Amino acid sequence: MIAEISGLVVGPVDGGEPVVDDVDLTIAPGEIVGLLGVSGSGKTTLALSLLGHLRPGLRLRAGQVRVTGVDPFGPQGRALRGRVVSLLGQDPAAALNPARRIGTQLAEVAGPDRVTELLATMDLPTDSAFARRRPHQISGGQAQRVALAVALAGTPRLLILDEPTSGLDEPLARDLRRRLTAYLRDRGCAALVITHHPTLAETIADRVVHLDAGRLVPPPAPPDPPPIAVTPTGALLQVHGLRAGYGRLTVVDGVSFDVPAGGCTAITGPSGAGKSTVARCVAGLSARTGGQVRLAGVDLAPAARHRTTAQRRAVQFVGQDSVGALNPRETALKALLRPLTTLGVPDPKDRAHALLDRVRLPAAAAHRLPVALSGGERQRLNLARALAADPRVLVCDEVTSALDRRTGHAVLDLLAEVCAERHLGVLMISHDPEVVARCAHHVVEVPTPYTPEEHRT
Amino acid sequence: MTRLAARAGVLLVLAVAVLGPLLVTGSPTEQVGVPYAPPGPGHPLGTDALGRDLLARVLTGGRVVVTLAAGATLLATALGVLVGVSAGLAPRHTADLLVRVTDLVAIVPAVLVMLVLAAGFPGSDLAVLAAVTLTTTPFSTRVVSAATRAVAGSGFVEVARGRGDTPAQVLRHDILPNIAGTVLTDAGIRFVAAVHLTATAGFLGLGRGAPAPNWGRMVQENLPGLSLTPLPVLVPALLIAVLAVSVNLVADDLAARTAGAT
Repeated sequence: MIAEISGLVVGPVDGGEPVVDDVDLTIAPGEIVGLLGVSGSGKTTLALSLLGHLRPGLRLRAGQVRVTGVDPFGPQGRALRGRVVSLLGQDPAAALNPARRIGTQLAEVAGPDRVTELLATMDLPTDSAFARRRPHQISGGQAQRVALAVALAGTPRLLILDEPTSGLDEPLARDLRRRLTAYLRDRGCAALVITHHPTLAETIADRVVHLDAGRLVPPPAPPDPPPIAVTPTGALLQVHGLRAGYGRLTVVDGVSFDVPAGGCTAITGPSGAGKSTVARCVAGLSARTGGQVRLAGVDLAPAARHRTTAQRRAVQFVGQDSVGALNPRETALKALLRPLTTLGVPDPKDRAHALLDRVRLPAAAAHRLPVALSGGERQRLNLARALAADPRVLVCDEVTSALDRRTGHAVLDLLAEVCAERHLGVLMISHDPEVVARCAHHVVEVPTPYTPEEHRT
Repeated sequence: MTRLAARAGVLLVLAVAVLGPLLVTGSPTEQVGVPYAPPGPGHPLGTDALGRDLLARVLTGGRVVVTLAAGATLLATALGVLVGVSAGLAPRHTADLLVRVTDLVAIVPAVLVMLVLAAGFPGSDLAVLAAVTLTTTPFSTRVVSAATRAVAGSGFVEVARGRGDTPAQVLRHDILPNIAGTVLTDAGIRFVAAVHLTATAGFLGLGRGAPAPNWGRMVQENLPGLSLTPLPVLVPALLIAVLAVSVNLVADDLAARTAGAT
């Protein structure tokens, strides 16, 4: 056995409900185990226990953890990290050094000769121009695969993947499973895959265990309420011939679409096609190099800082990196109070609590810092904060990719409600056909990127 | 345990330095016995190179070192935050220019700056304060500007700016709270450097001159008699060392608390 967990109970230091409650789990060599559960179910806490790590404020109450026979909480535990157990976190951008080229980062862990091989393993472009890019110059999905390549380069016995599928579409997930399986079987290694996505869990894992409120339970039947229909009217946001890129590199060219008030336009396309770039250009976070972005008939400047305050408030962005988007020193309540206070909303506190409730965050979350929220809760807070600015257009970049299916659907339904209620336009960036099908009235496909040689200008 | 010891260390040395002059009965500059006398009745720590009471000199010689070092650290940190945050938030080119200018100051050796300033204003403690501040600031600036740049590039700053928050709001809510830990730790390091420089100034005879006692200068004055009696060198040296180490431990502890604050 590579890993054995028996009777594990983890709970807050100051008492209260355990986060992980009496869990038994074994992982055999060559096995890919899927750990499925909604956000806040204790998935990450359980997985981190294999590294001998507990988040601040949590305590090991009972039970035993063994990885290759060693107790990760014991004195030899530290030696396991990186060498025997390797973790790939939820946030791919955080796993890579933003200042260094991806080729250099791969060469550092694997040696310069294996860079091309590792890139090929992950279906990434193997040309030298790609290896010379920095993490922010590749898409979220590509960054995740680069981080996976880094995690695999050290040949760990047990690989823990936290939401590896959030940037991957289903064909890529199937492909990832094939590669992972071959890789792990050859070396007698195993993987634990944490995910909230039942179909992807089935695709990627040999065996799926389901975690609910800290306990292992039999898998539930997936609830699937019908999508909510909203009737859109009039074009609120018009994008015409959008062109943008990084430096001299053009990533998107000639993208045009409309977002009607009260409607949702989805942008889909393969990983690396420049979907996020489109979203960032609309929000003014990246400056476009060509084309037009018009809000209610008025031209918007390429960069947010050249737009008027009203225009900036009118277009709100919710990104895929829920960790980086929240100030680590601000509680959920404070994060919401800031836009509300600047807007001069009466009773900002009541409004903030109402918003928290609206995005299905528990009242207790109001006074927590982002570090004490789960990935899903953080993303819902991001959404609430965007709504607090009272926008006319909401730009959502893969917002549900870090949420479990049920919560994700609830958020999409919420988006539909708010969008209908306030007559908001939603620009939804997603690679997930299910998300697109659920909320979009119009779908725009961004084609596969050209090779880097072709789009130098 | 370390935390308690560190706090006790800081308090002890500060108490000696600040309250010491009030406790002194005799004069720190009056010759009361033979040079380098071992501890004896009336003189618990013995006498120094000129036969002055060592205890009186230790009690009165700390204030100048601690005040100058603390003042210089405060000034340097304030300047460092001001210039560093501006550089961290400015566009690349402006930031590079600012950092290069501070680098120019950093190139000049600290002791040289001190000697030049002391030559211009002989016998002035203010000259020492200015010199220590001037040579410490560039390093603080670099650290603060790097920390600021990292925070300024994060998603939440992007969101706040995209939403139309004023630079002052972004600074107050997003930048400052997230660089506070770094600034505190940095101030700890700078304080040690400032104590070191202030002591060096005393050792070199800069600032208010002899016979006024100064821990740094006492080490130098009494060095020739080290083989006769080690106390006149060891006591001031030890006080400086304890202060430097414990201030850093306390600053680290504070920084860790700021980072993990709930």
